[in-house]
Amino acid sequence: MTRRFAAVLVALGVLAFGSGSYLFAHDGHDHKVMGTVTMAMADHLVLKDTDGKDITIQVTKDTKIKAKQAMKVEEIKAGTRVVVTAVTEKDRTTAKEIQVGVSAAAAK
Amino acid sequence: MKGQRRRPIRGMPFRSASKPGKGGATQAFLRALLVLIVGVCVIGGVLAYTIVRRGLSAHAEPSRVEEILTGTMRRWATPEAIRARRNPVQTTDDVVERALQHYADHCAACHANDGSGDTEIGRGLYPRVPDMRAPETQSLSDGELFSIIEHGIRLTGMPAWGTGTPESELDSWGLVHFIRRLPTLSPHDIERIDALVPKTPAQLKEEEEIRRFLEGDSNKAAPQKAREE
Repeated sequence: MTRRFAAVLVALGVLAFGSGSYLFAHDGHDHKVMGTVTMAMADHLVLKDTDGKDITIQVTKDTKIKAKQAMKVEEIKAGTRVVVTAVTEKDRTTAKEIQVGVSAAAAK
Repeated sequence: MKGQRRRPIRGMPFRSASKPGKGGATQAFLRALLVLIVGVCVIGGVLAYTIVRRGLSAHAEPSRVEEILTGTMRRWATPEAIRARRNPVQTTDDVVERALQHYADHCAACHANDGSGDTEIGRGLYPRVPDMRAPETQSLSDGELFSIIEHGIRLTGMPAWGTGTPESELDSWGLVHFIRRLPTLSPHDIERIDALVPKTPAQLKEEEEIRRFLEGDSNKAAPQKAREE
């Protein structure tokens, strides 16, 4: 019986300390970045946003690409308009989804 | 008396006696009770100290032990009769379509359009909103899923959607069918759900701005941080 009580106590202890150790883990918030691509690589994207600021956005295997035709990130041509749904954590912005639009040359 | 060995008095054996009597069992019980009380006091004290010093935040990730305990408690909280129930509603295109619309209207805000739970609310709740495409959810019985939708889960963000009416039960069983389809939803289905999700005027405005920007409208678009979702 004592062993059973001890097992319950250990479980409660792990529960208490397990929760405490992660108390202040914090995730970023999603936001949209609109801009024109200046460089597209397999692992990151550089774009000029609508305020003219250069932004580098990391691309992961989970990044989804929404385009008229199936394409890879590195196939996005410079000058293409994109809207990136991104999450920023510790000065690192990662793309969750990239919506691909027309090229800047085709813009009205 | 010198050199004489002590002998146990009859009726009062030493602790090492082979068969403890009734008094021995009581002693063991009291000892266990004492260990329990001391243990609970120590853990309670440490926990209280930690909470007072550091506070509690929903940003924390539930520990594995906590996940197992809460999962077990949720199973116990679902009556066996409900757990064993099979979905009484036939799967038809109409049922699934109605459930998809229902899901978009009531569930997608927390569970995400694709059922992944990857939403602002889903990531912020404690415990996190589960990925319903994963085996942890898909392995639940029809009855368990129905019970969760109808009766909710205490101490989580999952509300009880049931109203106790046959119509409500019909909707919940329809959603059970839809949840089974989540792992194989097509991008087209997910887009349809997105189109059906209720949106605020600000969200609709932002969508319009994004559409115009992507189509090449040269008017200056929304600012970089258009909206935190």
